[in-house]
Amino acid sequence: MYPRARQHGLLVDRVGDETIVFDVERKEAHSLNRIASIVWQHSDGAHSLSEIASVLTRELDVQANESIVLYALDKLSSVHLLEGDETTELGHSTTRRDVMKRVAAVGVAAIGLPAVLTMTAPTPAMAASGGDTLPVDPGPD
Amino acid sequence: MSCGVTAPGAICFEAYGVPIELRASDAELLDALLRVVTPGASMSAVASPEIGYSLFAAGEHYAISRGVRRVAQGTNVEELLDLLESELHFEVAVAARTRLFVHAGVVGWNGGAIVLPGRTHAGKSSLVAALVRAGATYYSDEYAVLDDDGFVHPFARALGMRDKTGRTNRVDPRTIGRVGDAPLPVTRVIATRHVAGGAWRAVPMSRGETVLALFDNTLAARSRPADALRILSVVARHADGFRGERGDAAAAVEQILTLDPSDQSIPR
Repeated sequence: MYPRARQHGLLVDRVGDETIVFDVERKEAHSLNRIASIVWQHSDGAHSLSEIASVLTRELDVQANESIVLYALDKLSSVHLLEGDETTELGHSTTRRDVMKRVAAVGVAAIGLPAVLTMTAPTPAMAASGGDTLPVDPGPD
Repeated sequence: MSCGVTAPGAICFEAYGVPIELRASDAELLDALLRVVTPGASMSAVASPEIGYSLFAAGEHYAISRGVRRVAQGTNVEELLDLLESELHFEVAVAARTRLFVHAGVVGWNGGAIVLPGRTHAGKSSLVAALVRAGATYYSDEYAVLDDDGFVHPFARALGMRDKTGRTNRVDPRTIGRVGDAPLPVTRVIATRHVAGGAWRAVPMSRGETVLALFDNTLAARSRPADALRILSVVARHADGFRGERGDAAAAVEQILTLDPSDQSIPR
């Protein structure tokens, strides 16, 4: 499996270790935390899951494995940031609970799991009127 | 259609790249219209107004039209002017080309700006007023006006303070404290909302969360997403972000002004 990040129809900016992505078609803004950003940046169709896990290990100085990469790909796929439907190739999705079981022993949990915050761009009337302004905590699956 | 500054019965100005014309049926109403001119606007001749409103009197009634469409009428001209001001500022905020408007209260503090993004009824005005009474400098209770470098500019309209009946009363900010007149770098973004009986509890936001908290209140989020994300990312690189609920505005002021980002432990 060689995941490929979607390229078209996206505006991308970096802020610190995080990546901000705006989906022009869906009018959605996403904030990828550091670990999700690394997985997304290396989803170029040339890196396998194990190679991306190796990148995580190197850049984050933790022992990462394919489970956490799959978890990140699940998150990215669910908000349409991957080409095709990469994570269903293996016939299942990876839940936070699965990942926590597998990574607890190797230290990745200490730096946090891959997370993608998403919000729909407000219309002008929404931005200027009633509504919830607090970013939504991604929370557990 | 064109409008000169001295055109009879009209006020013309440009606000943030948007040409505007206001007309009135008599000199007294035209004079009254001066108070709704957008803060930061420059009075100038306008070749082709993009936004145009008219205020006219008919007997004891007054009416406001946008183009040929009547948008409001009544006997209380002050209430109509409040409505016109709100509508005009909203239209400018959406159409602005030289600045980015985020629905937020803004005060200056220690050489930087504290931006409080939030929508109507989030309690922005009361919190801004309490901060100004505590020594902060007033910038706006409605819009954070951001330039390309992420600096916030004054949009010092009269504060809109709601009373217990829900009616909005206008308060001249100079009667409660200082008013800012120069752009400031944003040093804090605090996404908070009033919850009756609540207590202040601030949670640090990551830089990405801070961008989204501002983006969620950006008037041009859909029409200028590239500009919005670029400018908001600049802001988030230099500002510390917090989110949370708060109770009474006066009780939250001290905590807001003394927030110490170094006490927080989230990765940046």
